[in-house]
Amino acid sequence: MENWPSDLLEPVKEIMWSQWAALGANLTVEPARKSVVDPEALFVATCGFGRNDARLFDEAMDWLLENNERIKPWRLKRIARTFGADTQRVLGAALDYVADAAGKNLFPGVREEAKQYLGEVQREDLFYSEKGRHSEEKGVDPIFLKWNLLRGAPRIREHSGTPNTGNPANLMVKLREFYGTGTRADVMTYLLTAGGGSSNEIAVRLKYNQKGVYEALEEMCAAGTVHKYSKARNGYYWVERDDMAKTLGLPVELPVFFVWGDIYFAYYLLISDCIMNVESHQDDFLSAERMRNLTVKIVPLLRNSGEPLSQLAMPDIKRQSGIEHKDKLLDYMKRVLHELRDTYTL
Amino acid sequence: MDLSMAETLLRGLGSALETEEAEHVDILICGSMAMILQGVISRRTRDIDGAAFISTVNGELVLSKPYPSPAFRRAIERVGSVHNIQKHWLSFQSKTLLDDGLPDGILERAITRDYGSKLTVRLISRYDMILLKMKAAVARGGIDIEDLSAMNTTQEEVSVGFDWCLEQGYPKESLLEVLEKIGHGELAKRFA
Repeated sequence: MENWPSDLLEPVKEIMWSQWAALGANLTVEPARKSVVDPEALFVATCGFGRNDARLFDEAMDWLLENNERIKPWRLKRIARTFGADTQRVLGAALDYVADAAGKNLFPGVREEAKQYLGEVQREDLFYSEKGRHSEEKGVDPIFLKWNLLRGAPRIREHSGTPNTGNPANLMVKLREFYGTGTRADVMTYLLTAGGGSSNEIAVRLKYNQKGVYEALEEMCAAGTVHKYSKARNGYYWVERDDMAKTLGLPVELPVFFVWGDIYFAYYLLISDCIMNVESHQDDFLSAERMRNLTVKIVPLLRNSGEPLSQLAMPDIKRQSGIEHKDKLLDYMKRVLHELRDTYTL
Repeated sequence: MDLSMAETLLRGLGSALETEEAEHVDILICGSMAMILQGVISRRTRDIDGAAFISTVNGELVLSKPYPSPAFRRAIERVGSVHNIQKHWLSFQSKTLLDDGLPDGILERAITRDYGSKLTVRLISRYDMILLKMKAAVARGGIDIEDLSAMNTTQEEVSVGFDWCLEQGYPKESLLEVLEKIGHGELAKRFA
């Protein structure tokens, strides 16, 4: 297999480790500080990329056992749908395990939705590095087995802490504590860190439904905390950032907003395409064609995931030929990761 | 399109056909690209000319007019898209050559190349190329004259071409003119 999937996967995982550290997972890595951590997007992405890293996967489950009340189930569901059936099934299994360990009926709706994909899959190892290791049911975890996923007992040590709300990266978590679990906290996080937008734009980026976001914005407008510039049909909402940050006791330097669900999904698309289509990627033409098609999906996802990414030069399929589709896309993906990890994580 | 690009496109077409529900395709390539692919001349062309499809009937190779199947067309377009070139990079405008008559034994002399399990390309030989180029030079001149000159043809080769074109009903005067233009003035005087 080619090297580029691991060249991309490693920095993606570094960002994920940092974000988990920020959220309170018991890790020795430096916690992310400069961009807003999205807990639901991070957990779903861990279900996708965690198949390449058992430790990452188990630390995320450990964290969820302690912090499950901080997670919005329907948002998990919505983000996981983007990633597709494979990730939804892994998510279902992880949530099932955490619910069992907690002795509570956690995330029933998410697990129920994930179950619909069970009929379509063969039994397989959860972790790619353990392929073929669990041929017998002996020694495998019974909960994951129900999801046709083979793995040994998860290493859950119940050592995760809670998010340090003094860390700017935990703004979303902090505002959820302040505003409660409704829509307002995440909408305010967006307005403070990404600037303004229409209710539709904010909903799309936060992975909410538009009606809920609109109602929250209107409520906050009525309370005078949010301003609205009304265009004919599509109002533009914003806050006085400095004043609002002061009112909420936030630091002057606010973190940057990224649509982490889309960013992680973009990398998941590319890396899983290589894992699932090894033969095609060994053929120059078929690989170039796959990369061209992936460019069309991936570039808009990343470009619209945050203001800093919209500034980066991007590949243009109309100006590229053959193998260039692959070279340019990989170069772009590396530049995006470099920006995200080196400028907007630590 | 140069030699390297043409090779890349044909390899791509072979790969694309592997993933399509397509029958095996066997094409006879004529035109300048047949010579470029054999390293006889070195220049660029706009496209690759497919003159005919080839099939086996009762153990014999048979030429037929090239009517590409939808799957084959799709594969050609996929290759065009990936390389950002016109979708008719493999064209079949030379299919009229079949109506006009091709030299006997053209398939036996052709150079055969396989691009995967679903694409065979046959490049017409230098011998046949000279015959067809002489015929084309009478009708069009220009680039065909240049190609014939670049091929450094021998008197034997163009003599065969001269006779074949006469058999095909091309005017002697025009053929003599072609011979002069491609550096065989002596021969033209002899045949006049």
